[in-house]
Amino acid sequence: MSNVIQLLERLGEEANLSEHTLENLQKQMANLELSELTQEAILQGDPQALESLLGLSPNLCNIVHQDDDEESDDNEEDTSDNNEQASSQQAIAM
Amino acid sequence: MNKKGSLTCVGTGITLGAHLTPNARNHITQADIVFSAMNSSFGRLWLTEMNSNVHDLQQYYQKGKPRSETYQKMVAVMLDAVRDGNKVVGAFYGHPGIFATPPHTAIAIAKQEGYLAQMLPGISADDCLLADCGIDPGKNGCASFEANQFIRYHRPIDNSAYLILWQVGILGDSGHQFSTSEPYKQLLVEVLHQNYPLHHEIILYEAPTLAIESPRITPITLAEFAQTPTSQITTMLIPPCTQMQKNAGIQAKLAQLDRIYRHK
Ligand SMILES: C[S@@+](CC[C@H](N)C(=O)[O-])C[C@H]1O[C@@H](n2cnc3c(N)ncnc32)[C@H](O)[C@@H]1O
Repeated sequence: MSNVIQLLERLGEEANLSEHTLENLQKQMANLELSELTQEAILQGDPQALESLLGLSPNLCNIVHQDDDEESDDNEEDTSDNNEQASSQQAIAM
Repeated sequence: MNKKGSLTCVGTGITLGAHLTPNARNHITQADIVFSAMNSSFGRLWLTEMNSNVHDLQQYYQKGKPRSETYQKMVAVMLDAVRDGNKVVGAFYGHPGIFATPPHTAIAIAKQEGYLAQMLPGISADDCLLADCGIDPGKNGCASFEANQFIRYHRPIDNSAYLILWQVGILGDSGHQFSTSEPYKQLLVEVLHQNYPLHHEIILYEAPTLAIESPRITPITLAEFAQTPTSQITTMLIPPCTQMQKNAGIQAKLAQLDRIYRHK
């Protein structure tokens, strides 16, 4: 597993993936003794397949920004004190 | 005098291995505890190779639970660790302060409470978009909006500039499922159509999370948007559809000033 992460990191660091010849990538993967299926997923550029081969659970959510939908729905039920807090938090968020 | 704990929120960039700054990496390796909000499970593992004490913030998301509650929890756990006297790092994918609420909130509170707190920039999704789509925001100007906010409020649009809309893949997500559907996307088309023709070409963009992928740049017409699949990481780019209008009055005044001052 750690081998795969190291390979992914190295590929990210490289100047340009297209400079990375197929042969070179295959050699690196063979050196790391990655399974054939793992090598296939990497060659196909298929993160989902790679994720399931490694038994990793995908992210449920990649959103870390508070949109105003939730904020204003909350505000409607809030006391004015909380309202002030919500709007100052939103000011911080923006 | 600052109290003992500290908080540094760093950005890890979008593509694993490609975007992490040396400064951010040092903060991660030297932290007592790292809280992570990465854009993939690979990213989470990558962090654990740099620091053995990584606490994953993903666990606080839950379908049906408002994200505001999740963010409050993220802020609370980071601050608790700071108050315990730890050197805390919040590692957020992309730039930790671009369309990212918890880092801003946590840093503001930590500072108020007298702790050292700072944010370090990272490579953001729009940095990748500008590079991959070959756009210089200085050429025509460029505005960025969160898509939900954009449709809920009247926002004056300059359609002679580029427009970037974030989070188009969770438009109107009132059920907190972290996704969207055709009728909600059609509302965005309706709003945009007030300033752009339906045949105007727009781009749906997704930067690679891993270096084994390629950037996904999908040109479609505005009319096609509602039927085109999107994900949580889709960003919409709308190129200008009109020319910039000359400000004749100011241009005349500039010429007048030039005549006076250039010859001095
Ligand atoms: C909560 S924001 C986080 C942005 C992040 N802090 C950054 O600096 O890029 C999530 C939104 O960022 C954009 N985004 C995130 N990852 C992306 C990617 N790989 N490609 C394109 N846009 C992305 C999408 O608009 C997505 O809905």
